[in-house]
Amino acid sequence: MKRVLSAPASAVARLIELMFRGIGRLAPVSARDVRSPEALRTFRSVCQSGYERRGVPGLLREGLRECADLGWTVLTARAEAMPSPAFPSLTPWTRDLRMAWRALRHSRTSGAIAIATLAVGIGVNAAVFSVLDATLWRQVPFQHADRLVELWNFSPAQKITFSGLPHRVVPEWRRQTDLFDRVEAFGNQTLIYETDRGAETVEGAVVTPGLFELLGAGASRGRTFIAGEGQGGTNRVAVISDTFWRERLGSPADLTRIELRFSGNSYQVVGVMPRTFRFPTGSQEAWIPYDVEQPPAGGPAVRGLTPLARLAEGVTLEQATAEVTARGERVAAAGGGPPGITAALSQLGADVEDRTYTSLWVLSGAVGFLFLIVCANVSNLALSRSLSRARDLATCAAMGASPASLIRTTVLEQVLLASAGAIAGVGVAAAGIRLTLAALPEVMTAQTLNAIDLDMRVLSFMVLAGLTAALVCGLPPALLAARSSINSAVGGDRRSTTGSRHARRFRASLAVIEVAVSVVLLVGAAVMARSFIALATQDQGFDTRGLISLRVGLPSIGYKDVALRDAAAADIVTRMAALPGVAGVTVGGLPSDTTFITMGKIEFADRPGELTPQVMIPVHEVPPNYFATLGIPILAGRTFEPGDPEGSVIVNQRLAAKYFPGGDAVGRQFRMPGKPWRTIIGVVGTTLANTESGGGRSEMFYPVGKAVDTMRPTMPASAIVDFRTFIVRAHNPEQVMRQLPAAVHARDTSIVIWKTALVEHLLAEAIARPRVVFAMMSVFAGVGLILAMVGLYGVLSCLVAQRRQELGVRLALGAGSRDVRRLVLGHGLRLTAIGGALGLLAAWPLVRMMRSLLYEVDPADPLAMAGAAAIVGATALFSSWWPARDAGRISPVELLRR
Amino acid sequence: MKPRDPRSFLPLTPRVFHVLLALAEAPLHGYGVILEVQRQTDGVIVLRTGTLYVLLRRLLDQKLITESEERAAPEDDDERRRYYALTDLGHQVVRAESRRLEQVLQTARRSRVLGRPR
Repeated sequence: MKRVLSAPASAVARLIELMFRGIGRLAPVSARDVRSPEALRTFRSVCQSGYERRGVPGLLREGLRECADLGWTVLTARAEAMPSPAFPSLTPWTRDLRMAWRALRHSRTSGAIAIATLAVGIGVNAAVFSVLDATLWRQVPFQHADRLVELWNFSPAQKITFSGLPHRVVPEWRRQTDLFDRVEAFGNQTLIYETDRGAETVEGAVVTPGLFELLGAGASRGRTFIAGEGQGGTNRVAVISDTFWRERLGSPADLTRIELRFSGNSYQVVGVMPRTFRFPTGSQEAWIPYDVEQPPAGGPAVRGLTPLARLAEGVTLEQATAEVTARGERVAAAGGGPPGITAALSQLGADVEDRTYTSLWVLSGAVGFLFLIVCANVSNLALSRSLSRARDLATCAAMGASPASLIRTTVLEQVLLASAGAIAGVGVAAAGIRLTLAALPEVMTAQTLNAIDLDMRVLSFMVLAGLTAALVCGLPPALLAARSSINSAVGGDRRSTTGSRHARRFRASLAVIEVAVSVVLLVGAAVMARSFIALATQDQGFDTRGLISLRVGLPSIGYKDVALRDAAAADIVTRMAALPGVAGVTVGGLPSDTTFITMGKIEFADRPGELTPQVMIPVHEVPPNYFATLGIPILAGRTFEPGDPEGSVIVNQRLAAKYFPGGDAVGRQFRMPGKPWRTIIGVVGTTLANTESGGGRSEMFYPVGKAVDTMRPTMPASAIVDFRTFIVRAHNPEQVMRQLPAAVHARDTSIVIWKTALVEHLLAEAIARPRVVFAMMSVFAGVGLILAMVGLYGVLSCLVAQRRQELGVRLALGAGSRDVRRLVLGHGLRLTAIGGALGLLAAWPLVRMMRSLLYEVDPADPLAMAGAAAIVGATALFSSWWPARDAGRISPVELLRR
Repeated sequence: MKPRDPRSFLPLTPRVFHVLLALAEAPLHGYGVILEVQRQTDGVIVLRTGTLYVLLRRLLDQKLITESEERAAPEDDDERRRYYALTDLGHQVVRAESRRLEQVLQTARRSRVLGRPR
């Protein structure tokens, strides 16, 4: 008995049958049986049997194979039906296809340029937009993504939002069932992965066991956590990432035997997440369960948790936002959270950092413009190819080819070209996405929760857009040329066989557009270049040459007491200083690292009653030699000395200038309300705080061990109790860098080396984002410029070909070849000038959008504008020169002989 | 007109041979041919609709098969279906090809490709 098709199956069946019939319609007479009702019935039987064996997939499989076979049959039948040249019973389409193919092979160079142009346009756009789609537009790839929100701390007084709640607050949020269906939580944690070869750090996260279920994410091997895991006794299990499983473990099939040591404890691996799973960021490689209701006893409390909640059905984001802020303080208080702090929420994945956002938009704008140039160029090339073939077409028309056939040939040629371009474009896209991912710095890609890959929807869209663009832009000029050639063949007007007046105008305006758009790109790139150079060469406020930064983690075993940590750090400093080639060692990190902060209103001893507004000032704990080692100048007073009175502080120039504008900050006293008085003993130079945006900030320096009244970052529950960063200045930094770990381990092998790097490299890393935007913009602008110049060259050489007779007559009547050259050059430069002016006008508002990415450069930077104009002018002159030279070499005698 | 010599069709391609062989027993419709060939060859040869009907057209033109009035058992008959049957020439051709293959097989046996001759 026949199984009746289900609704989706019958839809699929109908679709496939449509395809089958469509292909069948292309069959030549010799294979006409394939479109008979009988063949169709057989086709249906085959599909039906596929369905009966394997359901819809079986149906699809059989159906597609049938179609493929039919396609092949039709093709071979057509090939057999293709007559030999001596046998002129060609079907019109095949004949025209052959004509088109021949024509393409004839104008190989311009065809290849058109294909390459299209391929670049499609490929680059697909790559950049795939990244953009994953980071900005696509919803996060989790179940009920539109209802997933993250909860933050919100301080209404300071108007700041920050993450990290104590674990007991999470159950309190779970009780707000009118707002949330479900509340889980996670906290990022750096784990120390211990192997026989030594310890390394791995980005991980503690998560409540239900988190994976909330996300709707399953393991690709094994399982995720089950309820009840993450309590005392059940917390020694872990889920690992695909990368970890593959690269560190060598993809073992049997998970049950894998025990990993993280931060001093051993964990049983229970599952591996799929490659595409990214949560909380793309860097996480291991997840450890943590039950907030019954946390494992004995361990330190986890403080840095972020709740992830699913809004209850029917609750809008606005309602939830208002309610969360209203209830936040009460909920936090019930769970032992800090007083005066309420909560805020944000949709999961909606939080893209501003600079990343703008950078990606600017890049997408740039590739969009590039695509515009591509379109104009394809159009231009199509026209020039058609024009160069006008004679052939005219001959064909004269020999009896119908206008329809001529147009068909032109269309087919364009279709062939577009298809080749699209296929090549897919290749460029595949390479492009790798390049883009390799080029984009981690700050721009780590945060997105979507897997970044070449997106098939984006790619198909771009291929479609490319095909459409090639046809839409390529057909009118081709048809224009075809029509004019037919007219000319009929009218016998030889002089206008190289293009009508319309075609000429059309081409000229295309060249103008290309020049204009490439000017926009160039201005963008030039502004970015100026900004980047300013960033890369800015004065850091300290001497970065030969500086090494080494960050270590102190284990909680043995370093519970702060005094012990300080002693160990002092000892390590002495050991490092003894290494050959070391000029100075200090501890306390780079000025741009934020370790501690002090917050509140400042009160001054000599101005009683005066309070500053609420401020937040970074505080560094440093030894006396810190400033000398880093090369930060001491502008007034002195550095710390042993026996300094309690409350001695050094401030930077910026803070001194802000609160003690008289310039005599040394000796003055200030305090935060309720805290002891602080006496300024020295003022030091301001260093750069943020390398990417530039500028300094107010900072304070306390002697080691004296910053007890500041806010410190809370350490997540881990085996590391504290971090110390050593700064070493060396004459031979590369060699010294290799010896530093040994110097640390000579003190204690249990100290974990976190990160060792040359400070100059760190600073280069910090400006990776502007560098990438700058680099990519330059590449796009360069490609755009080349394309525009190809277009301009095409226009001018065509013009010369077109006006050959006229130019010849001019030469014959006594015009010098100089005059003729000037004529052509002038035409090219006129077009360039119009395009350039339009481009500069358009660039003005567009480049303003890049304002937030720029450092010390005005978007309307005259130098960048002038530079772009100069580059375009120079290249235009170059590409106009060759046609002009040709024009100058026209021999009137030869022309007359023709 | 003198009928063509059956041996002039040899050797047949495997597909043609199996289609003829499938029709040797009883007339079949297109889908029946597909199923029968699949059965005969243990799924080694899977004919697809496009290929089959181009093939059938060629066999019809060569007069090796003909459209048949004879029908299968009434219960699995679909009267809209077209059935194909072997012509006399078709029978002769398939017989000639089978003989040829038999000789090939004997040669193979003699050269011990198939192990010792029994």
